[in-house]
Amino acid sequence: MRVLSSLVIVVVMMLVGGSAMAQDRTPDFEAYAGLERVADDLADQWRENHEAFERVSLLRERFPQVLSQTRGRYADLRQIVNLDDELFLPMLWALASDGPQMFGMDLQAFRAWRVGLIQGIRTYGDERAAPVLLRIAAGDPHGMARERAAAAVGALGEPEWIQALVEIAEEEAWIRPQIVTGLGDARRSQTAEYLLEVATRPGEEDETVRLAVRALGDWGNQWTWRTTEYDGIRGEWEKGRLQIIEVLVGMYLDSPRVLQVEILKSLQLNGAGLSAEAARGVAEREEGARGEALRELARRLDASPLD
Amino acid sequence: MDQRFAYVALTSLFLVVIGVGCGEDDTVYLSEDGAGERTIRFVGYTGDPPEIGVEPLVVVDGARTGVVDLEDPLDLEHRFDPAEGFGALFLANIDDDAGRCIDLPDDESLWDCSDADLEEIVNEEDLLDMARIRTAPLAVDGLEVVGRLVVDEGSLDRVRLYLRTGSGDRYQDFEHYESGDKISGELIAEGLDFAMEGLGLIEDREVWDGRVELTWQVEVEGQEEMFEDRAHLQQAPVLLRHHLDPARIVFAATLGSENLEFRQDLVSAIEEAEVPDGYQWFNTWDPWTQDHFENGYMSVPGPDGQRVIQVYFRSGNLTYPGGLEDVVRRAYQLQGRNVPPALREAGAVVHTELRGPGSTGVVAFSRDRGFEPPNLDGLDVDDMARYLVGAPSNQTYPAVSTHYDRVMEWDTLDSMGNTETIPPHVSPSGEAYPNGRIIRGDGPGAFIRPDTQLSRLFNAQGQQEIVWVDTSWLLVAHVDETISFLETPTERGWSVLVADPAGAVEIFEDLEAEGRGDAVLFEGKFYPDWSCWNCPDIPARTTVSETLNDSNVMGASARAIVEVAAQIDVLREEVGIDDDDLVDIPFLMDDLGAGLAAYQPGIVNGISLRPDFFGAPKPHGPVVDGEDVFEATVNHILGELGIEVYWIENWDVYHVGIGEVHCASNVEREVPETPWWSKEVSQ
Repeated sequence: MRVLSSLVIVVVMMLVGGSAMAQDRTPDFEAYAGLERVADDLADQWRENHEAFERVSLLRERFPQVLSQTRGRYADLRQIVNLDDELFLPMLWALASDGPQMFGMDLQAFRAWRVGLIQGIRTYGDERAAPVLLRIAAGDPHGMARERAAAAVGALGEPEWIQALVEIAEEEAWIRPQIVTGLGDARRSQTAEYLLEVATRPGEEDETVRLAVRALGDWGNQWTWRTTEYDGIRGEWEKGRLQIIEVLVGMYLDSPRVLQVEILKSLQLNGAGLSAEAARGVAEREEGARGEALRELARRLDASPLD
Repeated sequence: MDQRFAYVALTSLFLVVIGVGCGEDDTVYLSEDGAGERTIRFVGYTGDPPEIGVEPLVVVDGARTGVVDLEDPLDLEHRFDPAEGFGALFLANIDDDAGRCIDLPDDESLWDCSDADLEEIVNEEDLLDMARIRTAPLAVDGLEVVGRLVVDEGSLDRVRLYLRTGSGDRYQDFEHYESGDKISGELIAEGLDFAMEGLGLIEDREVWDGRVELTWQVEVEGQEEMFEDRAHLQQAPVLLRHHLDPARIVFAATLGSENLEFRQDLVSAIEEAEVPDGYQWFNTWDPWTQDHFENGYMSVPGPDGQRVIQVYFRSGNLTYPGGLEDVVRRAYQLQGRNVPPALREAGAVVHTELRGPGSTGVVAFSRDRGFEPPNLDGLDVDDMARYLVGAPSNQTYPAVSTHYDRVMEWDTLDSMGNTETIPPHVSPSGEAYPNGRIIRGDGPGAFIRPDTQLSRLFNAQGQQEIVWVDTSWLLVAHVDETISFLETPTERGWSVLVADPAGAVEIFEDLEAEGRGDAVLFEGKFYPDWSCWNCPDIPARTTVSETLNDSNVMGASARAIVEVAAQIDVLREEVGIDDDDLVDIPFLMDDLGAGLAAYQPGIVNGISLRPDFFGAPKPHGPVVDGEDVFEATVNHILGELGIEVYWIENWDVYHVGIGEVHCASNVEREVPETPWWSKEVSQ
């Protein structure tokens, strides 16, 4: 199936040609996996506002230059293009169609371009992007693309898409770390439950457990939740973070140091004061060095600059 | 039969046997001017004691005076196992004294070119880069003798010797000498003069620790005995610079005129700080001069002070994983392109601009950053190439994907902005680091770390063992984004500048509480819109209240607080810093998806140009009563420590490119007047 859909893409790419956004031939948008639901919208915009497609095309052309002047691995699309409404669909199409060719970029620039597109598309919070993003999350060769696509889908906050991400994560262990990381941005109860399940799952890879603990910190990040963006669902946080704190404090003593460091961070993000209280509570039930280790954890949480 | 003989040196030149003793090895013990015993080995001796013996004597600069003096008791005493602060040192002679490493055909041929390539001394400067070794004249009248200077087996490929065969002491008077080659008695009688050069840096102490043992062997015709003396030399370490060393020159890139405003401010700062050699621009389009290279130095005692070779480490930033070269090459071919050169282009400045007499460019990296590439035998390269670029492929290749990601995703850790130096200190465990200690960023687990080769090389110098902090949460992942060090009039003598998003939020909340929630940040600042040729730029302008309600910024700042706290925990543990050593510098962070970065210009990410002068990125914070609140706050914080802040405009190109003043520049510092081997630190 993958091969068949890929062949379709190749044929379409050949028809469209290297300058994929030439106005005179409207692409068969429906042929691109993930674009089926927006094919008509894309065709309309192609005819009515072709300039937006050309903007994306030009941005892609200039992207290697932008990246060469960016420190590190990725350029933030928010800082290199005005992400106005008209760019959403052209960027989505670019993301869906750019796989087979690198448009003159080197491999690193090409990978950064796609991650940039994912991040750019995410800012719209438009559910229509989910199918394209899910395909990337499920099988892109680039780990960061998988992670950011998962995060972008998760950030939509829709239970059905979050469930789709969980299913992808469970399907193949080698991509689970990226999906788990991305799920930190999916701030709904079901995500916290899944991440807690991964974090405490017997036999799970150590690195995946660490990333799940880390994602729980992102999920419950108190300074994110205090913005008005999450006004409607803050109850999920209040409940979820108590659960997270209880589980992470319970994990602390028997975790290796690298995981303890991660737990300490996630506890602070979810609420240092509440976490300190929980640690002291558990310490009372522990004896000797174990109890003292938890009291030390509580002291460190008390000293947190957060809260 | 083992035998031991006691000799008394009548002179240092000629010995008469006066006593015999038995020992457990073939060793002759000599009493030396009553100053204690030293040892010469008496190899293979089994017969009667000789009536006449010779005392070969090889002397090096054990006293570290810059000259070898046969009469100097310290040179004699410390030519074997050196006491602290003594013992001969030598340089890796990897500079380019004749300027022959400039016009080379391609990048790779630039990497290793140096004076050490040649089996000749090219000029007087080249000779001065070499350690001198002398043998005492031997009165061999009437004796047929042959001598050899032998380098220990482990160092044979690490050093090269030259023997003075001419009558003068100029470079032309020296000829290449192979370890162990026979030297005639006539030359031996006069005493010999050798020069020795190291051929490369100490890369791995388990392979070679830089210590060279020389054995000066003299055979006397008709006797089976071989008389020997030994001397040790240690190759000088390369030391990285810390912010307590005064600035000498500042480097940055020209970028055409795109960064004109930045360069103008930088020049003003350099002039005001009176940096002795001013600045040098590199004609490159890569703006991140901090990241291309890191400056270090080697020094040894010279006749007129320290003899120094500046070492510029080129960053090992890769363009693709070497273990996937066939796949990557094919992927590029599918696009009608060739693979790029292996390393980040701009780093070549260490070879083309900075290498020369007394300086060198070094590159130490591995093609897969120390990771084991997957075995691709029998797999379809074309199909893997298509998979790698997301084109239709017959199957998926997780091993290819994982290896590519491991190598390339964290390649940013190999940029030199991720290699800084903590000033001198004594660790809580009591270990003294009088030349400071390197600090680098990595991440949890085994896969988030810089190339092992350069880390191993840094640690192999044996002076500045690396301290690791987690920077993996940052998009750029460099240690300079959150931590810096400045000389301060405090008990320790220096302080740690630390990113403090909590302090920034407090400032914002105070402003809001004062009814100034609509105060503007980033007024007059823009991001360029690259999606059209004549689009208006994107205003960066925002307000205090909008910022406090930005879930990205607030979430990222909270995350940064706990991550920076974890970095500080490491410094407490490894360096022994406490709260009094911390200087909190407020600015907010943002979440750019693939990691965090400074939302406001990251003020901590500046340059120390003088102990009381810090060049920092202009924050463009909210203005209240005509004053930028963040400028005022930091002016006050650092002013109390006697440090003047010079605000440098770096919004365009640099801040929008996810870097600041420090990332945009590279400061070379003076070699300390007190040599590294004499430095002390008490806390």
